[in-house]
Amino acid sequence: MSDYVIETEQLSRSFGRKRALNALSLRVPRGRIHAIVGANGAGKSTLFRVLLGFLPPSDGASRVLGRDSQALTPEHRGRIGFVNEEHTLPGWMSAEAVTAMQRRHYPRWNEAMYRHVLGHYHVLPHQKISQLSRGERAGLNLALALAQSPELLILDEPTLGLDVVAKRAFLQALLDSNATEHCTVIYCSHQMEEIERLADNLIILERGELRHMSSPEDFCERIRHWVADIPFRAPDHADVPGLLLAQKIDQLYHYTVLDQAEDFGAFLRAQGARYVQSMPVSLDSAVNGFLAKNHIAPAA
Amino acid sequence: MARQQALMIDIATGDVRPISKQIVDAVRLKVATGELTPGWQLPSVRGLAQQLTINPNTVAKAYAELTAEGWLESRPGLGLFVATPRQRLSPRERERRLDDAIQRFVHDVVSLDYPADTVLARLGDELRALATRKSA
Amino acid sequence: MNELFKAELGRFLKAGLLYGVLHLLLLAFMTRLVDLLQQPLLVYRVAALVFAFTGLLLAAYQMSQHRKPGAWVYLLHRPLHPARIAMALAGAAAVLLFIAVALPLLLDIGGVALFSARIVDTRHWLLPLCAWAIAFGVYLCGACAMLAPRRGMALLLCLPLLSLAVPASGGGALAVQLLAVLLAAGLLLTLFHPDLTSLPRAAAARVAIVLVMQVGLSFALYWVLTLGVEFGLMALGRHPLNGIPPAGGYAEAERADSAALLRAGLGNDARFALLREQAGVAEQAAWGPGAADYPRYGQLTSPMPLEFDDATRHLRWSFSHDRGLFHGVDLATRKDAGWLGRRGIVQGAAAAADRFEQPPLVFDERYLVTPHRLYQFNAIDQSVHLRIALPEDEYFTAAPRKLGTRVLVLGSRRLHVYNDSEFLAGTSQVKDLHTLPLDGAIDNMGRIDAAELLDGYLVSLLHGRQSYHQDVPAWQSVFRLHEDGRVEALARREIGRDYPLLFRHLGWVVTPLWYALQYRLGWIVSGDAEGLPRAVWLAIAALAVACMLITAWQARRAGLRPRERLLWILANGVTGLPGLLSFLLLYPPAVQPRKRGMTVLHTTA
Repeated sequence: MSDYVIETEQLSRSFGRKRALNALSLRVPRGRIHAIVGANGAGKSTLFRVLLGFLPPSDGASRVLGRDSQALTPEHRGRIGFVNEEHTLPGWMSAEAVTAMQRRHYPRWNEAMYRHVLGHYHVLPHQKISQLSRGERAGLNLALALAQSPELLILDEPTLGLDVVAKRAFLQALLDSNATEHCTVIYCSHQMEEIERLADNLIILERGELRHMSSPEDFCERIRHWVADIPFRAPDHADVPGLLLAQKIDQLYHYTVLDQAEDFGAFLRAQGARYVQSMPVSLDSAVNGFLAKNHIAPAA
Repeated sequence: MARQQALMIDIATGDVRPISKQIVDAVRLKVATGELTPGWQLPSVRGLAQQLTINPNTVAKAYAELTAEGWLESRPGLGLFVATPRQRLSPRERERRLDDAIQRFVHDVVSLDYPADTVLARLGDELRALATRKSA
Repeated sequence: MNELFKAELGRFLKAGLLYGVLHLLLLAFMTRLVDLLQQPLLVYRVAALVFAFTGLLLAAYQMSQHRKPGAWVYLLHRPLHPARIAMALAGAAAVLLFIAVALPLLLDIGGVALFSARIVDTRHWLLPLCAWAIAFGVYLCGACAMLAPRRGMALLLCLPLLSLAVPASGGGALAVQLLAVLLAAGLLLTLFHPDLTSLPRAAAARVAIVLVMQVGLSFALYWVLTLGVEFGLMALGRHPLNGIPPAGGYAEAERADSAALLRAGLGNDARFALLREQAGVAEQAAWGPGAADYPRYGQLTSPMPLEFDDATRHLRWSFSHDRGLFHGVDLATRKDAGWLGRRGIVQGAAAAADRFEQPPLVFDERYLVTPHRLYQFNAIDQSVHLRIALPEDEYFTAAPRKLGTRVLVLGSRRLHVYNDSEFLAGTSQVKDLHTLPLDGAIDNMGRIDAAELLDGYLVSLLHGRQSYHQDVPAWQSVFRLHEDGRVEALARREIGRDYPLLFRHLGWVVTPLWYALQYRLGWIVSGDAEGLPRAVWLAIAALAVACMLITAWQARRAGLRPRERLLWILANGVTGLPGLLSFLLLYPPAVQPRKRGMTVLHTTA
């Protein structure tokens, strides 16, 4: 058994001139909850489609559960759960019919798990999928995915478009299921709150490249917010080490910087700062700052 | 059967402190103020994770830190219990923290224009009240 | 797999049943009005088109829903082999189309057989199966086109047309349709895999796809270019059939009146001065061979209904393939009115001698025509008589034509001349007064003109009907039939061909392989074709080289493996334009990914 549930080597995928994945080398170890974060277009969806063999790579290779993505057998597919953001289920079928179908298809079906997860929702067996609310559909989808007893569960923005209550219900159902005890969870989301609550490991993708992988706390520690009062000319952005974000608010300069120790204060003082203060940042701000760096912005 | 005590804490996402740090801080405060009685059992890792809707690993991490610092003690096969309090900080650290707290207090109070006696009297009352509650 | 099949069936069952019920009601209503089993080919073609469209619609809707990215992952990402998933979906469609298309037809035919005196032959029971095969075949091809990784693969929809291209009838035609269904099902299985952007990996599947596409492209190319040239010439004002045709050409001859054509055929020879004069004033007739499409036993459909009415007795006679006899139904009472064979009304059990040797076409409610024999039905005594028997090597190509005191019958090899009073008044078989052997193949013959002379007949045969679009010669010959039965060849002139050389060889130039194949198989009827001229050979060679060069260039850009590249280049050298087009559709000019490099700092000041 491979120690990694997901391995990619120099994985690239282009659509015409656009590169969705750019020589991505990623190894996700077995176990725990891994959050994948990235701006829209960071290549997350493309990555999942390549991983599941729904899209061939332009270059490089990928393996899931030790098996080449392009040669997944039905048996392998049975061990990989996938929940997408639309919670696509056949709308014309009733909840019980969909469940009966999945139950027949998956050899390791766990009925207790299914009932437990669905217990968080009010889904009537004879209800048509198309009549369920988005939150209920998400819950049913999660119940179906967890009941398959997957070794790897990929959740691609599962709470997208859900209201606050439904979002919380989804997280609760996921956490209550103790899914992490049996399988590795890949959780892809834009919701920093969810990632803070769930993630053991934070994977940041940007433009199809791996930018960061560590625990969320370790990531936050790399980033710090500094405020300086510089009465004269502030340093050029290009000269500020590790700069992610620079802002001038009232008369003060705010810098969000990456991988700078306390001597960043000394740097600011050397640049003529009369007064320097620093503080840690939340995960939300850290990720935003990190991703903002390479965003195209109109020249200030 | 040890008595289990509810852990009435809440965590906030979007805070500069990671969730495990928030749990550590909250438990410390509750032990320090006597809200958590030594010898009582804490919620299980799963239970607290469920209560707070967070990853159990995060709770485990916080509990590990609290245990290492001596706030909690682990009884194998039984669970985690509130430890009997003892001083956990070095004398220098205690000194530094006291300085910080007094500085902050003075900053806040000085603009209120109370005579120093009044302020000291009130502060004395508060500290005495805390001491009684703790020993109760 | 069972669950998927049931789920998919349940999804469309209501719609399928509704379609089926409406279909049955429409059939029942139509059956009250007309005999649906005795309709011209066109009616069955229209019905086939409707069924094909039904299949296409189902495929388009079903697959467009399934192939949405999320739904596709849901459908295929499960511990089930894709082929089994495909079979579940297609199986559900097969059942649905049976309910919607075939079952109502079966019920209707059953109703006709049980509750009416109308003819229901064995072949009719095959019609529902045919309808189902058409609908399901088109469904499968539609599903292939929907799931195909390239848009150009919509050409796979040409596959069901196979049954139109192959000259088979009856059970043979059904077999061809079922073969198309099998082929399409095989293609669907190869296209039904998670990755919808790549061509199937199996070589056999690729070859099959390329073949179907090329056949479709060959048809399309031929017709697009033909129409393109025609419209181009029209736009330039130089279209030979538009306005005044070129002098001495086939179009001019084809449009001339009989007198002018006969005179032109005789030329300026002084010996024929008198004939030219007579040709202008004598009684004339002009006609041409029609399409010789004789029905065969067991054929599923006929070019026209094989039935006629006996107005005096208010009977309708419809031909039964099973019996080889006409069956009568009283139009007023809808009662059975007996059987009619080639010896007249059948008394008691029918003998082999009563049975028509081939299903006859019916003209003028009186003439029953098989390829070699013309029978006449007399309503007065309900008798049937053999009137004309052609030699076995030829068949009737046109209805008998009366001119003066003669009746002229154009066979596929000879013109037969009979005495009109003998033919019209008598009941016995008539004998040739004159026999004029045709001096060219009937397929290329455009027109026959005859003029009654004072002593005998003047006959002009105009050849070159196919000279517009094919490389066959065009000429006119004039004969004189003397009263004593002698046939004298008077004159022959070559007629100019109105279209340019390359246009007449368009099929050869544009689709050399496919055209040669059709020619060898005899699907292109041009018995008079000459050898290919040098210019055409050169054009074919030049196009082949061009196709190979473009293929080589594009194959390198598309990043094909050397072996595959070589195969394509060689193949396209042989297949020409259809090969090149199919290649370009499968490997469209790719856009190269651009190197990117930019680091813009995000600042808000």
